[in-house]
Amino acid sequence: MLLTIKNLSVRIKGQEKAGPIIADVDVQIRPNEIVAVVGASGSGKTTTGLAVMRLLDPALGVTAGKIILEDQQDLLALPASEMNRIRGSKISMVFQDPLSAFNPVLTVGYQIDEVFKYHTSHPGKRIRSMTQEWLQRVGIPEPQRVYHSYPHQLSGGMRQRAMIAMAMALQPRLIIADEPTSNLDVTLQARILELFQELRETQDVSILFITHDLGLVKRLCDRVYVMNKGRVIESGKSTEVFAAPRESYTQQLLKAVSV
Amino acid sequence: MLLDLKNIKKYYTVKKGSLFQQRVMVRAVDDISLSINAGENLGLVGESGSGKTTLGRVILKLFPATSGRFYFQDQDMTRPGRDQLRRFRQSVQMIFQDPYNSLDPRFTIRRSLAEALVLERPVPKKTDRDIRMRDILSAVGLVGDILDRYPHEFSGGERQRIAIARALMLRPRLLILDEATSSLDVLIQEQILDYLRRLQSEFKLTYLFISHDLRVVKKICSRVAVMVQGRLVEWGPASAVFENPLHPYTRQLMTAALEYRTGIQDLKIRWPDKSDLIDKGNGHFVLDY
Amino acid sequence: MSWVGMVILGLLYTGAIFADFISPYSYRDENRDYSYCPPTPIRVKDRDGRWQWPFVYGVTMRFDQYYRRVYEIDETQKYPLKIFIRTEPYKIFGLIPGSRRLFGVEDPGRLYLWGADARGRDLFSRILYGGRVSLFIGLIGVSISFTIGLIIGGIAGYFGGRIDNILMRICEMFMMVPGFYLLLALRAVVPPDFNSVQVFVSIVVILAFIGWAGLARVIRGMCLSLREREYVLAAKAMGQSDLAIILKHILPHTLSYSVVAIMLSIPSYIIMESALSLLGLGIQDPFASWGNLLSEAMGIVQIKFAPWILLPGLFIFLSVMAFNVIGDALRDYWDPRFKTGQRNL
Repeated sequence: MLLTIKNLSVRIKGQEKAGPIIADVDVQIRPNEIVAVVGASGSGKTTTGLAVMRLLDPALGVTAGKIILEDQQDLLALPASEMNRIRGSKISMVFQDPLSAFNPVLTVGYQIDEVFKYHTSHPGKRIRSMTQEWLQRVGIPEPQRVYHSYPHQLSGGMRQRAMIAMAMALQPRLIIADEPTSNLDVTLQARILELFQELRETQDVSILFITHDLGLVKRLCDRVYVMNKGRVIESGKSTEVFAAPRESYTQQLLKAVSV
Repeated sequence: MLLDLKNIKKYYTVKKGSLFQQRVMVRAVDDISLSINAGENLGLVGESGSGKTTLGRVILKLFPATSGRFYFQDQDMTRPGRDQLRRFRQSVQMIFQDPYNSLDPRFTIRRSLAEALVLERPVPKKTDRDIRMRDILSAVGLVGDILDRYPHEFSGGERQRIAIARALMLRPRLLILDEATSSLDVLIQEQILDYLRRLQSEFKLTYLFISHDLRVVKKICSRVAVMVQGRLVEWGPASAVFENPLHPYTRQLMTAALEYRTGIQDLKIRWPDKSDLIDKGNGHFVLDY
Repeated sequence: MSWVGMVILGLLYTGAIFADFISPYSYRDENRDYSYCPPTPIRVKDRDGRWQWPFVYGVTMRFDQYYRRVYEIDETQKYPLKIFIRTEPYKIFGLIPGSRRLFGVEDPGRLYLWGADARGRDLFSRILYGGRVSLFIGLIGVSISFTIGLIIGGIAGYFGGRIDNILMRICEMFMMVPGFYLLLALRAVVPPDFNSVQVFVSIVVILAFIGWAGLARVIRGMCLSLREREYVLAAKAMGQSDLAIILKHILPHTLSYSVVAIMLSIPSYIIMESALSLLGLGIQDPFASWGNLLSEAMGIVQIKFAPWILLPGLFIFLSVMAFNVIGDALRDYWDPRFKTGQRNL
């Protein structure tokens, strides 16, 4: 098992009376698997993803649970310096809005290089060629030009692909993608979804795909977890869940995305 | 015919570059001819940059078109006089995409709804106003203490419903929905679509549904028009366009939106000289490709 | 910190408004026998150490060998402090007659809380009266320049295009002119036979006409982006007139910036007036303003032998600081906290 989230509960610090943000969440991700966490806004799906990366808002606190990576270490128990080493190299994240995820005053290439510089000791030239290789692999047509461009000079689709390149740079075992296609046009969206599928097939990587749109992940994911009000209410192999959803909430979601 | 657009164009110049500014002409809407009949729902689809939002705002008369003719309820509204414009504004309203900004956050709901009555003659009395507001709010499923609250106290879906209520205060004939469901979760989208269907028969509305989300368009629209780069490439009955898309761009759009697959990579659209659409029978028109 | 500022301003403005009542003397009440008399402390114990009702010792003046004035405390003369003392009649704001003051001493005793100036006028009283000019010049000036700035900025930002261009060029012309020199030049144009009130008004008007440009530019920038908001488009689609949209939808959203800008620019009016009066071009004797009072402190002789004469400067400092502190606090209160809100959970 690549990642096991067990009994995870998160609440706002100091607000015991208000309910928890997420409670008793169990998620399992195997190697080379695409797992979808689906729910409405406020269901806790993003909190779950951020908790894995230990990037939760400082106002929130984990009150229970473990997040076990590769059946070995509990990410929640690691010291901050260890976690820093894992972020980017073993687990990385792709966010919803690529424009705000990139630093606007630095070129895209520089920012992807930074990932290499922080985690490896390769020489500069080698880093540059690796970055450009990844830009090409995610389907960016002119990697050299994009390498030297600033985020605002690229189209939305290119930016998102650059962000995926940055996430893939050190060949992590898990990518957490939080609504990665919400700001994109449908054709771009389809391309990014296909890119994820390609990555799953050619690289040794799993993807945790967080979204509110069940339709997006129907074809893409192997397993699905449905969240509502902070809890996982249904989960299983996607073919089974979509064919015979048990919970009425899941049925409603499926009906909403039927075409 | 409720709305009839003939050869509408909206061009504007944009300065590109930071120091040496070149003037570039943007053809946001490039020779569009389109018509909507009362009671039918037209879906206007396209990706960002297609010009569909600009076309929507031209129809709403937020700004004038560069050229073309505009007929509403069989009257020439290309350059309306003051009274004509006033009646037009009462007949055509728009629901916007962003529920967080479509209501002024400093206005109470009552004040936002009351703003819709600014054009009404004779000016309705205060007591009548409140009754009307409550009636319309309950038609969109909002009951209870709503009027004295502020937009931030409501969720995105509720705010969209309030925006719909505001539009309905004027008793319009045509309601333009500009990506009205795009910022909402899928379940809330369903809910809003439900309300829209119910309101349509109750208030005798016609919808112009502008969206890039074909799934939603398929659920509510009887006719569909596809726009790319300011031009219309295909239109017709929803069943025809969805099941048998003719133009390569439409086909690519359908595959991406409904099957989440990419179709043709690097699609190059051939723009013929004439922008007239060819009739393929059954009301299904396509641009020559 | 901002509470401190608000308290200070509260005290200063109360003092200024009720100067007639609070100060022991009128601003023009002079007694040349007591020129540059040092402060007369209010005592509660007499020389035997017994508690007494607050009083003031008399002061005698004699000339020393260099014909300089030397003031000595004469403990034989005791003048008790009187509350609600009856004095010469005066008129609050020139309208409401009154004849009592909060505290003072009977003649021939003199109560110089903070010392006397060259003509024997009580500095404490003069500072209170001076506050009227210095403090209110800011308020009045700001209300004029901000009204102009908001309207012009709002129109330029909302309409854009040519109107925006023209208005902004006019704005820049105003901003180009070095403010202080323009002030001097315009002041020279004011007829010399204006009485002090008219001079005051004309100074305010002049300052206001210079000051609107900076605000107009910022408001215009804000309006340019605000006009694209959906609620503005909705209002247009519902038939609201442009003027109504600017007044009801756009300008209220610039409020958070505007109020802070107002708070932070009042001090510059206070300082401008002080500078002008210091040079003798503003409020003239016998009327008092803090800048005017400071002009009497421009000689080394005065500062060395009558250092209390510099006190008006402290008041200018205090009021400017108070406005700045409150302005900062308002800005902090309005901006980040409202924008953080809830993170995407």
